[in-house]
Amino acid sequence: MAAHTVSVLDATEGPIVVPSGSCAAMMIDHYADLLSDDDALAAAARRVAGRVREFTQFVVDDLGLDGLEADATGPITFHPSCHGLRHLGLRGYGERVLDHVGVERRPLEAAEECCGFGGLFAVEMPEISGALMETKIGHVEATGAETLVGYDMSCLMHLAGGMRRRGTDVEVRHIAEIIAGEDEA
Amino acid sequence: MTTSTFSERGAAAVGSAAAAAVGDGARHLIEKRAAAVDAYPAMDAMRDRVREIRLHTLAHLDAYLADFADSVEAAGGHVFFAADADEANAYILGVAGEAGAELVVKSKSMVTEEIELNGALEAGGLTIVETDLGEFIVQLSGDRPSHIVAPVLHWTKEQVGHLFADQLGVPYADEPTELNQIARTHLRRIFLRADMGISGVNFAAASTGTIAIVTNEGNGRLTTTAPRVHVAVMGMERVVPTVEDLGVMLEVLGRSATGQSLTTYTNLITGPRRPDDDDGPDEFHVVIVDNGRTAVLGDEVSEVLACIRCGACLNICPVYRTVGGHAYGDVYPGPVGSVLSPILFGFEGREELPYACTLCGACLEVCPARIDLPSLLVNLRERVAQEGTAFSWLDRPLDAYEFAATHPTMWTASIDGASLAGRANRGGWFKRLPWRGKTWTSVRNLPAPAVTSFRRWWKKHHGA
Repeated sequence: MAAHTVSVLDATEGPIVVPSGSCAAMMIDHYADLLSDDDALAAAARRVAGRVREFTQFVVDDLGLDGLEADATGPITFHPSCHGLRHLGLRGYGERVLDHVGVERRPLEAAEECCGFGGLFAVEMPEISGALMETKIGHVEATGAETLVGYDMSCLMHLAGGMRRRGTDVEVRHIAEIIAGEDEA
Repeated sequence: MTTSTFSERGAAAVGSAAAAAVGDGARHLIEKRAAAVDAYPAMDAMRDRVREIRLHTLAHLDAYLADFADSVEAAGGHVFFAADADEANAYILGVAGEAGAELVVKSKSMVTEEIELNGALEAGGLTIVETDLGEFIVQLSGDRPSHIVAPVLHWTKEQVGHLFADQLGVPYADEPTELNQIARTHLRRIFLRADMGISGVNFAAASTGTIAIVTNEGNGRLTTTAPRVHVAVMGMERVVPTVEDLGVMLEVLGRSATGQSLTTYTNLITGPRRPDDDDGPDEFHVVIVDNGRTAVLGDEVSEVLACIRCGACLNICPVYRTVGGHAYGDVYPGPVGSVLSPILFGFEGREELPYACTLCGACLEVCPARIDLPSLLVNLRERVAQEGTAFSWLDRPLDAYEFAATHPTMWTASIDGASLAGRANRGGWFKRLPWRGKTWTSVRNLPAPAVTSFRRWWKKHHGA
């Protein structure tokens, strides 16, 4: 699958914007290793890795924040997902984007703690994953924010599903949706 | 090792009082670490030094161990290299026999837990008393440590109060200082009668044969000086080249473990009592335990042997804090245990340990030796996956996913099909999925697929 993705992307040009830190980290840090048996593919993987940008990284480092606006009005809180935060070293990126566009961002207790998604971990060890999720949701609820914003789709899907199950009345949005505004389907 | 799996034990531990106590205790410890690191600007540079020293030593371990043994012997001590637990235990039992020892005091040592020394000595007719407060509680209650630094992190002070009242015949108390005093009074009498003291070794300096033992209770000092015989037991990777290197380790160990710039007691011991010493043992033995470590040296995950056993990776690990230490099934829990245990003791029955992790990377951020535990866990996962011995039910769904994801026509059809499911369940959620899907919906809903896929939305709004 990595070989396929690398081949498709290597035939394109320009930045490759990835809306999830975990996916970006996989492409940046692991594809070349996974494909190390094939010199040509490994070289392509390194070329692709050099072009991959996590979404907030692209916005802050490449696009620049000027002219960026937000539609959301109610208070939000932000969960910095682990792979963007630690693997890609994007501490503060999401917060900078949100603060720049002027949404009311409420601090999240233990924001840097994992939400418990963890990829297949979520289905391999659902009870443990669920316990981490409950902790995170509890902290989100305590902020009183109307919207939880994140930059990793998979963590957000997990948290949104947990909130739905728990009856938590908090919207879950990817940070791109905050900037882009809500667009009709 | 029990026959249950990590995920079964972990699931059972979720929400238990013991796991909650571990979670609270671990959070407290990691907060103290953070404060200590804030107050010590050199920490990052020292971590680099620690890593450099540890990896250098591991790369030349045979030479440094030989130096260390020579230095210990030159200082009048004895050294025994134990290939495995049985050899280590037999040697220590032999030393006790020759010294006519009956009562043995111990200070805290994880490697003696690893080789199950207490059981071996008891089988040989000796009486063993643990003198570290946590280990004393573990021994009195027949429990097991749940943390490598704080063995009874899973206990509450009230539980300790009841244990002491029941076992030691003292009035119930639950103030930590009172509990400490009860243990101290009880243990002091035993220290004075003990024939032999067994300690662990935090670090050993090759150049001088010096061992360092850090404690907060002073029991390490009594264990190593009051009895006639002192046996220090160490994993073979505890060595560093010089006393200066040992100083570097101590700079980061206390801060990483408990947020202390130094622990209350730091004992540096070189050889037995000298003729002009006021106290100290007549005999000093160091038992250097291999027990699988040589094999790890040649392994891709050998970096794990750089561990200085501070426990910071346990304290920050969200999984450890949720399930506690016992769920891991071995003496070394948490992220470092999930690497060490399978590689030291064998993968059988430990196949799930490398998966007991969300790869959040928090452990790497606090490890004083900068051990890349997430990458090491992924490395071990690759081996388990090759064998197909854990979570193999995922193989077929993942194969199907891979097929769709590498065949664009199939992918588009799958996405459109999912959109149909989304249309049928407009804006809705799946609360209960059948079969394997329930692993997701057991704890959370699954959003129904979008009615319009991103690809179709993009085509409509931005042209093809």
